[in-house]
Amino acid sequence: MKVSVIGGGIVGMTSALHIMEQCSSAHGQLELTVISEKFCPDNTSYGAGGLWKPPSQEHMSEAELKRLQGSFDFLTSVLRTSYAHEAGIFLQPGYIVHMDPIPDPAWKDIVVGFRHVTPWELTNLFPGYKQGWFYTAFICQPRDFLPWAKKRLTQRGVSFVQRKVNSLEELAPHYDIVVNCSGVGATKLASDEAVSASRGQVMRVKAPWLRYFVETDGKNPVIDGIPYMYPNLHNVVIGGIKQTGNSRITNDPRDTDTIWKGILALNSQMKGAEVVEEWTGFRPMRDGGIRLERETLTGTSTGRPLEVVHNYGHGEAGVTWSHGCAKEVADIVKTIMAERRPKSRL
Amino acid sequence: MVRRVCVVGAGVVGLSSAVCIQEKVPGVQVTVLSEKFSPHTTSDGAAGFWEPHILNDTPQELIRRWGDETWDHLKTLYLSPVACDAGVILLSGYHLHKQPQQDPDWASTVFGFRHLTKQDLQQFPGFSSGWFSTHLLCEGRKYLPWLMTKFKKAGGKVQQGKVTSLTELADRYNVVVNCCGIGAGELVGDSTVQPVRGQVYRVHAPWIKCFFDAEYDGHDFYIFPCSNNVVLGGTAQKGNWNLSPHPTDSKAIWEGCCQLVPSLRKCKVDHEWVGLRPSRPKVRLERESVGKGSSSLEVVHNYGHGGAGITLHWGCAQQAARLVQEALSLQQLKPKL
Repeated sequence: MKVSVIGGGIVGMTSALHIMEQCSSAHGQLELTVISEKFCPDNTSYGAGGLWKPPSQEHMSEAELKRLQGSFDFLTSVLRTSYAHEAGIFLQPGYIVHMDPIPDPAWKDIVVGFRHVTPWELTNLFPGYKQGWFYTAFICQPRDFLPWAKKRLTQRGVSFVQRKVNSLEELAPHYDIVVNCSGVGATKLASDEAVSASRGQVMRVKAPWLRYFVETDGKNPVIDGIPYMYPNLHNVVIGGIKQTGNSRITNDPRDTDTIWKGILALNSQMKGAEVVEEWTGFRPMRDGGIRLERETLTGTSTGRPLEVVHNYGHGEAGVTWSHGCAKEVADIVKTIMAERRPKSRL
Repeated sequence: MVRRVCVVGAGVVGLSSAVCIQEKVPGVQVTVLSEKFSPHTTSDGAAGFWEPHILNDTPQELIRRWGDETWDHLKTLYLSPVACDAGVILLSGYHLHKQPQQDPDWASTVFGFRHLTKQDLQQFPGFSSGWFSTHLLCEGRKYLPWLMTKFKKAGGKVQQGKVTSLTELADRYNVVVNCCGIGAGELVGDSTVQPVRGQVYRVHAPWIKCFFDAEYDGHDFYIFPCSNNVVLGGTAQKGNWNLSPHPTDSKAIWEGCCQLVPSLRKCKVDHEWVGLRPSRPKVRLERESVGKGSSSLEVVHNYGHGGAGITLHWGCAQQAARLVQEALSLQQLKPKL
């Protein structure tokens, strides 16, 4: 069975990992190829901070919660290994603070040790914010995880091809199943108008003393932008830019300024922290949320239907959703392989 | 008339006492006199984690008072622009046990103290209970130079040298503050001062963002991420004066910590270090008049903080400053002949 995964970002690579894990020994031989226009360090995932943090919704469907649990469980399983840090995975406690109090999130029992911030923490660490949560999450740094995943996949015989895919149909002569993890590219590839890009800009700075992440929500009158900071392995990622309708791919000094003002208002210790890198990327947003479903494309040039599994639209939480979604994708691929298994003749 | 105060010892207890005396006692010239200075003191090697530890029979109300005052001081430093320079970090992490333990007295001081759930414990096979809390850590290696700068800016003087008896200082100083830590035993003939030997690794493992502290079967294995490296420990060997790392201890610490966090096996070791915690049945923080006639001297003792030097230092320094004030007032009433 020839399977291709389109997209070499966190969603595509985790899909490939889980497909190899769950499907390679089942129902006959599996040949997997990852095709992507861009791989690390040129893709969206490269610049991401990698914090495990779902949207702060009070209600989520069972399917969504299952995906989140799947992601968290996978990261927990890697944590106990000796190579966790090579894969860019580590435990990271931290805070999410809100301008307006909101109900506890649907995922509060999936993370570990969820609590509200104490009055001292709120008043002194986050002045102006009305409410906060604290929990222990994971960081899964894509810029470490993706090369690690590529190595593992290559060892298992997966091929990597760097090229742009212009249509799903063009893959029909070469593959039985296509897993579409094209992120922002799904606008064209899947003709999906619900997909849009949210521009983000971040800096990586030296602040080795920072031991917790901070994510802010809502407009604080005394703070510029909506700042956030995540410890990474060697630096701290600081940001606060979420722009729709802006396709500027280079760093904008005005955004740099906004980020600094927000971060310094949030934590004055950051003053003078050395900037090591600045980066711009586009979060793959989708109205209506993640599209994770099977689609059978008929009318292909070969006459045979092409099985597609869509897995895109993860917004700003690619890392958070990736493993749980990947497990679900692998289940679908397994089902398709079982359906396609040649039946023995009498 | 300027009164002269000499603080003997330049570890965290000595330097903080010197600074508090400058701040609280008017009209004094303070000198810090020590055989060793940062980075060669016991305080320099300590991780600086705030938690009362190895304090033997020191009364609980004193531990609470001094500990909470120090906690408040560290909180203030943390919120100020000097946090980074002073080496103060806010961090969270795990205390792990093999049997349920009573909640510690400091549970209400730290932030967000809670018991570990089954979910937490899944990550730590072999441990059946524990706590999670958010603490402050104050690294000796950064804090001591920061205190010293503060001390000198306020006009403090520094002298390097070894003191063999306190009365030799009687002709130059009105009050002497004895902050000699492990050296206090020899200096004042206090045989109750005993070392509690601590050995640690300092490693590069930047993926460690929480602390871990596992106590079981007489062991205490801990992992503290300081600002530039991670401390792996430890030992607590009473009466052991050996300042060199011992291979048996190194192996035990390594295995104990790697069992807690397996990814540590791949970390890079920077160096090993041994410190002698200055342990005493109780912290000695009191006034004493020593010597007679022209070699009479008012002494304030501030030593024997065991494994809690950084945890208690500011509360003790404040009390030491009050005792210095008392000693000076007494002296005014009975001038030297």
